Formats: sequence, structure tokens, C-alpha cells
Amino acid sequence: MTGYIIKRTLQAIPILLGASTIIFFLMHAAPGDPTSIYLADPNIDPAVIEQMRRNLGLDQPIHIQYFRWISSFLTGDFGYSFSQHRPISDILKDAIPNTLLLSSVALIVIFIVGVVVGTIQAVRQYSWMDNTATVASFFFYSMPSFWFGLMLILLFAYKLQLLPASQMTAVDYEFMSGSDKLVDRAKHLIMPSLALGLGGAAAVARYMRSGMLEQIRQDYVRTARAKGLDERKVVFKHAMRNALIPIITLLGLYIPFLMSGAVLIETIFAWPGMGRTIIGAIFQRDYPVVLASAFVISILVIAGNLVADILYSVVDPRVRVEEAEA
Amino acid sequence: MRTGVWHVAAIGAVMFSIGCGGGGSGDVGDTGAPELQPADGDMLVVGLEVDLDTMFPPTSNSVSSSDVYGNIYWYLMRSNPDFITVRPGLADSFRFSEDSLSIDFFIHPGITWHDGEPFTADDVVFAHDVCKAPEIGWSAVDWLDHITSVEALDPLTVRFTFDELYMYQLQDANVCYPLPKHILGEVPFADMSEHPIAREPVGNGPFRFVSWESGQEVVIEANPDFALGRPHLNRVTFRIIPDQTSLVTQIQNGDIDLWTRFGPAFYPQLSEAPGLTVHSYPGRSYTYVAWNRLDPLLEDKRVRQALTMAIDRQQIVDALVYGQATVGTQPLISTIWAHDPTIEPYPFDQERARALLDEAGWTDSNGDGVRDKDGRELKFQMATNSNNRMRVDIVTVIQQQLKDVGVEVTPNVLEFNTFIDQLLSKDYQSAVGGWSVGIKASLTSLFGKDALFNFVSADNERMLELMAQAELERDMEKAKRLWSEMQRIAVDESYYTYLFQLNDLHVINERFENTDMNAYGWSFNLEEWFVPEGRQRYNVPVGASPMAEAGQGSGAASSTGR
Repeated sequence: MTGYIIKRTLQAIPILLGASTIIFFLMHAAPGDPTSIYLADPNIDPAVIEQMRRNLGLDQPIHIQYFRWISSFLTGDFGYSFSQHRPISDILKDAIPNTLLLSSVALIVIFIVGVVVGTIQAVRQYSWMDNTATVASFFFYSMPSFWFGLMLILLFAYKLQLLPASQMTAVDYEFMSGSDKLVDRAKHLIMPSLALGLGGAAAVARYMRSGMLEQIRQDYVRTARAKGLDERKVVFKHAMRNALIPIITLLGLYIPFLMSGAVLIETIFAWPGMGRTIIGAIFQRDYPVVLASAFVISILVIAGNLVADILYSVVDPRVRVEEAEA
Repeated sequence: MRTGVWHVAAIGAVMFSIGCGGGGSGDVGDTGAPELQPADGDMLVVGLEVDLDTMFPPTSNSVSSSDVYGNIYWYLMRSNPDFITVRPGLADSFRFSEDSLSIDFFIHPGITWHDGEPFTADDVVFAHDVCKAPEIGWSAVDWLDHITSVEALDPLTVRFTFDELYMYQLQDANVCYPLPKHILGEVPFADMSEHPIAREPVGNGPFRFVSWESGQEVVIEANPDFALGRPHLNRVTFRIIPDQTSLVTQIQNGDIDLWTRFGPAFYPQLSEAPGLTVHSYPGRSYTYVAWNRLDPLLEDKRVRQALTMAIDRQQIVDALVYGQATVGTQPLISTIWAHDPTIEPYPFDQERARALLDEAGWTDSNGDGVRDKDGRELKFQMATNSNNRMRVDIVTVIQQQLKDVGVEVTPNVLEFNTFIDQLLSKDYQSAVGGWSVGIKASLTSLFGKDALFNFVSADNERMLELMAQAELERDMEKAKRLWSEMQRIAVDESYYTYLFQLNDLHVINERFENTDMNAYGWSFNLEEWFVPEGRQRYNVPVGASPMAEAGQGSGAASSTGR
């Protein structure tokens, strides 16, 4: 297992370097640079723009810029943001925890809602509950997350005024007591995590339903029932454990999806995470920030897949055996 | 109130005429309401679409940033909305020398930096050196070109000396914010933008810094020690909300109190919304159609004039900008002193447009609905940038309107940077774009020979001559006449069709009083805004924030504010 993890980690290195290099040249190939924002004001002196480009090192030929960037990058120095005027490590330190918070809550929504709904549907197949859940799953699955987010805001923040429309905390958060702070944070998480997670939960519910139905018809389930085991035990202990195996892989695959989905959701809900950082940086041609955030997102994606693989072997002992034989 | 309005009568004389116009400029739209008693307290919550870049003024390029630090740092003298006269800031008054080549500013006694150090003339001298340093790369550095020296005569008097007498001496002396020398004095210029002060500013103005969480919010609060009197509001919180749907929701449900510079598309909804007041006034940007004179289809000025007359600009203003703009007439917009209100806009007259096109030789000889001449059809592309929905709509409307006079337009919607690239390399036929302009009358950058932004390839020799003269003329009345003559030629040449000058739109919760917003900006008199007692919403104490009073008990901070 350890050897497997090391092998996977080593494989990730060329992938990360290659991806970063491609992004570097793509970004520079796009028209404009960080000084383009001045081109809306005709009174700016072109000499001033030249001076700024010199200060930012943008007057150097592209291969020099590339080697400068890659050498500081390899020594762990992500560089300095053109648009935020601060070290990129500081920017990432602010943004990564926020994105991880939002996507892990969304992941929990996906997993719990998906598994619970799917299991109920399978156990009560063709009941009104099953049919309603089926229709609802297709509804949420086919809905774009940003539109769903906007509808949530419209309903819960504007019409009913039950939940805050955006941001991570209320405007008077710093004056709240400890428990109020917790409630306030939770309230601010509800809509963005639902918007981000419910589509995935619908898909998981579909998989879970069919997985459970398949398991329930298996011989070992019939055996368990025949020996007089409690139906609850049959479903949750025997059938569910096997039905969960494909779901675990699915969750690993959802991690990149959460990262990309979060770009829109973070914007709509004013959530200060990686998605907003990278989008803002792309529009402002803040090359170093784009590269560093793409790098971090790639790491999260690779790590997410690795975790899924490991979890897979935990749930399904057969995977471990095959690994050992190989 | 301490808003004395300063009139600079003429340039050149020794100026010291205080024209204190009675009650100052507090005449806001509150009609007939009884005089309300200013009260201290409450908090203003501002929604900002974009996060700040830095709060170090010389390296900042973002409007969000200046919205915030403009209340933490103050100038010696502050501009009036006419951008020609000034009002007191950290300095009470100023005096021109006999020859008008220098100005002395007299700093108000008792002003301190927010860390308690006294603010002195040395800080002004120091800031000038910082702003001029090439390592800083300040975007307005050319404003300092005529200042030959800045010296501290005594701790409260600073003298600016100029190499010549010109119209913007006062403005140029007040464009670089004074900076705390006792904090930055030893820091190399190249490292200043990374100094902690860039994210936790120590200013000298009516509000002081409390906190800044990236992408979330920036908080400033009243400076109770401000020598000119503390502002009425206890706190101003700027929340970063990038999505407009969220902003429009939150201004209506009361989560935020002020949304600045909102798009005209929201005007109908917000102007009707209960509990909100919309401020609308001509702003500092305009939208144009640029015609590429080098294109053989557009080289004849009669064609360009005809195209202007064939476009119903008032209809565009009414339908696409909801009336929140003024039809354009000339290159210098109404916020600039040299704007000539007597220049009439081209009428919307498609008959005259057709006649002019006929006269220029463009007739529909083959009857296909599109005019032609020497085998070439009068059809061209009109470029614009995709991230501005309104401009894309404008191109569509123009396409329809020009079709009525036999001209075929193909929209060409481009990513912003690509669009700018094509303009600057003159690789376009016509384009819908916009300019945000400064406060000085200057058109060399748009029309000058070989100027970077002269992508219409303006070539009228007389116009260029007048422009050069006008920019050097020191007598304001003479300069106005030169500008007027120059602009009339520019309008006749029709290198541009001036579509409209956009209004600045701000919407604010009704509980705030004395909110004077004008071409200077929404925060023109923020230190004078107040919420009458009984209408106050947030119970937020000053100095209760953890940042401002490290180590003090949190007794006052336990108020809930709801």
C-alpha cells in the first residue's frame, strides 16, 4: 500500500509540472497583460505603462520569464501577485481553507443525502416515495448549480429572508457570542453547500438506488434473510456495504467537479475561495496567481483521486489482495 | 459645518479669496423635510463588486481601494466636483506666491497619524519623493512633472514650487497622498508595496483602519481623535460581493446599505424600491463609436457624419441605459471645465444621412438594399467587447438603424483584451467602446500624431494645432475658446460618434442623511453623513474592535447589534 502511494505521488510530479508549463504559455499567449487595465483611460502616459511593465518583469522575453518563474516555483516560492500586491502564499493561505470548508460540506451533502435517498428508494421500490425521489433527482441533477444558487438566494434571502444571501459571516459577526458565531457560520454555509452539492447528491442517489437493488437480489442477502436476520441489519450491514463500493469511487471523481463547480458558486455567494481567486486572476492577467492556483487545484484533484483509491481498498478487501499479488 | 467652498477666481493672481457659500454643499434631495439633528453612531455597510488590490495609494489601481483609503488618508486640499476649485482637507488654506510659481499650504494644527504621531509638512515632502520614484511605478506620476520642489517651511507649512504657471497647479500639488514618514522613511522604494502598511494602513483622515479580510470585507471606523472633528458614522464596512444578483437582493433586504456604481439595467427596479434612494449624476465616462479613417469605406468625413446622423442616440439612451445618460456631443465631457455646452449634438435625421451618403457617391446601384460605390458595398464590421452586455446590445441596435439608410453592419464581439489589441493596432473598421477620463482637459492622447490611443487616425492639421495651443494656454477663458474651436472641428470630422455620457448611479438606504454624491465620487462628504437617533440600526462601538484596542477588556464589544 505504501509503495503504491509513493508510486502514485511520483507519477503526479511530471503531470503537475507539465500542466503548469502549458498554463504558463497559454496565459502569455492570450492578448493583454496586467497593465491592460490602464487602457480604458486615455490620459495615462504610455511611458508610465512601460515603467510598470519593467517593474513587473514583463519586458523580458518569454523564455526568460518562464525560467525565472519555474526556478522560483521549484524552490517553493510562488511569487508575488501583480493584482493584489502581496505574496501568493498569503493569498493561498486565505483562500484554500475556505474552499476546503465549502467543498467538504458539499461532499458530505452529496454523500449523506445521496446514500440515504438512494437506500430508501431501493428498499421501497416503486412506492410514491421512490417515484417522487426519482423525479426530484432528475430535477436537481439537470439543474445548473449557478442557477439553482440564484433561485435559493431569491427564495430564502429575498422573499422569505430566512438565510443570508452571501458571504461567510454576518456583518456584525465580530460582536457575536461564541455560540451565535457558530450558528452564523452554519447559516452562511447552508445555501452554497446545497447549491454545490445537491446536483451530485441526486446522481449518487441514482447510483445508490440501483446498487442497492442489485445487492438486495443477491444470494447472500437471501441467505441472511433466510437465517432470520433482522431486515434492518440485512439492509444496512450486508447490502449497503457492498452497494457503497462504487459510490466511493464516485466521490473521488466528484472532487475535481467540486473544485470547478465552486468557481461559479463562490462568485454567486461571495465565498472567498480558490475559484474566485483564479477567475479574478485570469481576467486581470495576474499570471503568477493563475499558475499557483491551477497548481494547487491540480494537487487537490490528484490527492482526491488517491484518497478515493485508498478508501476503495478499505471498503473492498479484494482490492488490497490484488494489489499485494501485483 | 466646516465645508467652506473655495473659489479660485483666476489663475495668475495671488489667490486667497474665501467664498464660503453659506451652508456649504449639503443640499441633498430631501425635499421639505424638517432639519434633522446630526447624531453619532450606526454603521454603513457598502457592497463592493471587486476586492481591493492594496491600500498603499501610490501602487493601487483599483476603484474599490480608493473608495476605502480615500477616507483613511486625506489630501491637503480636496477637490470640488468641478475639479478646478478646492476645499479644505488636512490643510485649512493655501497661498500663491507673487509670481504664482509656488503655493504654500497651511496644515491644520493637531492632525495626527492614526498611531498618534503628529502629521507634519515632512510627511508631505516624503510622499512626493515616494510618488516620483520609478520603482513605485505610480500611474499618475506625470502629474508631478511641473513640480520642481516640495519643501517644509515649518512643521505646518509646506511649499510646492513649479517650473511654470499653468492651470492645474493646485490639482497637481494634491494628487499624491501624504504618507507617514516615521513608518516608511527607512523602507526602500521597491519594498514599499510589500510593507505591512499596504494592508493595514496608518492614515491621517477622519476614518481609521480596523480590518481587511481578503475577498470578504474591509472595516474602517470613526477616528475619534480627528482634529477636524470626528465623523458621525461609527463604522463603515465594505463587503466584497462579486455577484450582481446578490447585490441587488442584499440592498433590497437591508443586508447592505449602499451599492455604488451599479449598472443602469438595475435602475428601473432600484428606483422604485421602497426605503432606497438612488443618486444619479453625469459621471466621468462615455461610450462612443470609433470609425477607422484608414478604412477606404470610412475615409470620407461625409460618410462618418451620415452614420452619426443615422443613429438614434436618444433612443439608445432611453432603451438601453434607461435614461441614465446624456447624448454625447464632443470629446470633452461635461465634468471637464473646457466642455462647451453650446455645441449641439448631430440631429437624428436619416433623410439627411441618406442625402449625404448619396452626395459622397454611395448609392444602391444594384438594388440589393446595401449602398455601393465603384463595385464596393458599404458594409463593415463593428467590434466591441463581450464582457459589456450593454455595448453588445448597442451594436445590435446600430446594426438595425444603419440598415434603414442602406448600410450593413456585422457585429464582431471580442474578448476585452483582444478587442483592445485590435483597436490599438488599427485592425478594425468600426468599434463601440468607452473612455473613462480624468479631470484635465487633454486630448493629445486621443488625437495626437502617433499617439497610442489615436486609433481613429485623426489627421486634421488645424485641429491638432489648436489642441496643442489649448493645452499650453494658461488663461482659462482663452483656453476655453481654443478648446471650443478645436472640438467643433473634431465634431465636424466625426472621427468618433459620441453616443452618450453615462451617469454614475449609487443606491443607498434611506436612513442615511446628508449624503452628497457628485462627480467627485459617492464619498464626497462621507465624514458628514449621519443617521438620526431613533433610525440607527447597528449598535457598533468605536474602538471596540480587537485590532484597535489590543489588550483592552471586551465589555463594550458584547452588544449584539441586531
